Amino acid sequence: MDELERLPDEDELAERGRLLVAGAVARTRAPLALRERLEDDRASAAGRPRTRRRPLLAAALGALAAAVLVGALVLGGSGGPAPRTSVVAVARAAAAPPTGGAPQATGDGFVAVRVGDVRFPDWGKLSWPATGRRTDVVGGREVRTVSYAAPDGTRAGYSVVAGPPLRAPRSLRGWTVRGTTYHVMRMGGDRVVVWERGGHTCVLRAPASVTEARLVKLAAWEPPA
Amino acid sequence: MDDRPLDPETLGDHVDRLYRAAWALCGSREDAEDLVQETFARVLAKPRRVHASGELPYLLVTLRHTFLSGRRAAARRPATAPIPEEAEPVDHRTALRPDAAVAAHEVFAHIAALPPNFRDALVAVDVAGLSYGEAGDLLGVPEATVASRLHRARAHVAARMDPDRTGVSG
Repeated sequence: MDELERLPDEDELAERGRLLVAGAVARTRAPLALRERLEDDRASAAGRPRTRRRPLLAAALGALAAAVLVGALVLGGSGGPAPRTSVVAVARAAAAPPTGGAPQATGDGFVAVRVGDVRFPDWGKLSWPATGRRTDVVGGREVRTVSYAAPDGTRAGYSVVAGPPLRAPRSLRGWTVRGTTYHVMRMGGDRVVVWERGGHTCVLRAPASVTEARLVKLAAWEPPA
Repeated sequence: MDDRPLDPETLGDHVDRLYRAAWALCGSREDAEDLVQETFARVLAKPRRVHASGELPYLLVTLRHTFLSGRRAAARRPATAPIPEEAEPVDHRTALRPDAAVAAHEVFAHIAALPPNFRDALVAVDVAGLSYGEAGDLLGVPEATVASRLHRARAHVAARMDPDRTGVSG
C-alpha cells in the first residue's frame, strides 16, 4: 500500500501523533554498546591507511600485511595505541587468522588449549573441527583464540580472555541456556556471542551466515557426560 | 559546490539521531543497531565529502540506502533455525526501561509499518529533525509534499496507538 486514507479528525490526530513521536524521540538514546562498537570501528578506520584502488599496489600491500599478521602474536604492539580490553576488541581478535596449527583433541570433548580452568571445546563431532589457534594481548590482557571451520569453509573464532570477566554491554540482547546468559551482537557483518564461563569472558564470532541459533548452540555446547 | 571533507570525529555527534531514525525505519531496536553500524562502516570505508549544510543529511541518505539494500538482501536470505530449546530470551533493556520506553517502542513500530513514502517523511522531519526543505531534498519531493505526507503519517501513528478509539489498526 502506497497511500494512506484521510482520517476523520485528522488535524487533531496529527497533533497527537506529533506529540507522541516527539515524546518517543526525547526518550530514546543510542545504547552504550552501539556507541562502543561505532567508536571501535571509527578508531580502526582512522588507523587504516587510505589508498586509491591500484590493484597491483593493493595486492603487494595485502601480501605484506598478511605477512605481518602471520608473524604478529601481539595485537596493538608498537605500531600504534593498544586497544582497550573491551568485548569489541576481543571480538576483533576472534576474527583474526590463526597463527598456530590446529590444537589436538584430548578425547574428552575438548582440545588442548585452555585459559585458567576454561577449556576450549572439541566441536569435531558437530562438524566444526578446530583448525588453528592464536594468542593475542589486547589492552594488556592475554586472549587465546581457537579457530573452527565448518565443512563449507565458514570459520568461527572462539576467544577466552585471561583475568577477570569484562563488562558485557548491558544493552545486548541474549539468551539464557542452563543458567548462563549468552549476549548477542553484530559486528562488521558477523555475529558475536559473549558469555562468561569459569570467571572468564568468552567470545564466539562467526559470519552472519551462521544463524544466531546455531552460534548460541555452539557457545552453549558441552561435551556429553 | 560548497563541499567539505567529512570529519569522522564528528560522526559520534549524530549517533542518537541516526539510531532513532534507524529504529523508526526498521521497527526493531536490534536491527536499528545493525543498520547504524553498517551505515557508519560504509561512510568510514573511504574519505567522503559532504555539503556545507552538514553531515546529518548525508548520513541519513546513507542510512536510508543501507536500509533499502539490506531489505533486498534479507528477502533473499533463508529463514533462521530455531533457537536452542533450553534457551530463554533475555533483554536487559526490558528489565531496565520504564513504561515510557515501551510506548517509544510502539511508536517506532507504528512508524515502521507506515507506507514507505509517509514513513520516510515522518522519519526525516520528526525523528531525525530535518527541516521540510532538507527532507524534500533527501526524499526528492517538494516541501509541500513532505508537509502533507507528514501530517497524514502523524495522524495514522496516533490512530494506531489508540485503535479502540479510532478503529485504525497497524
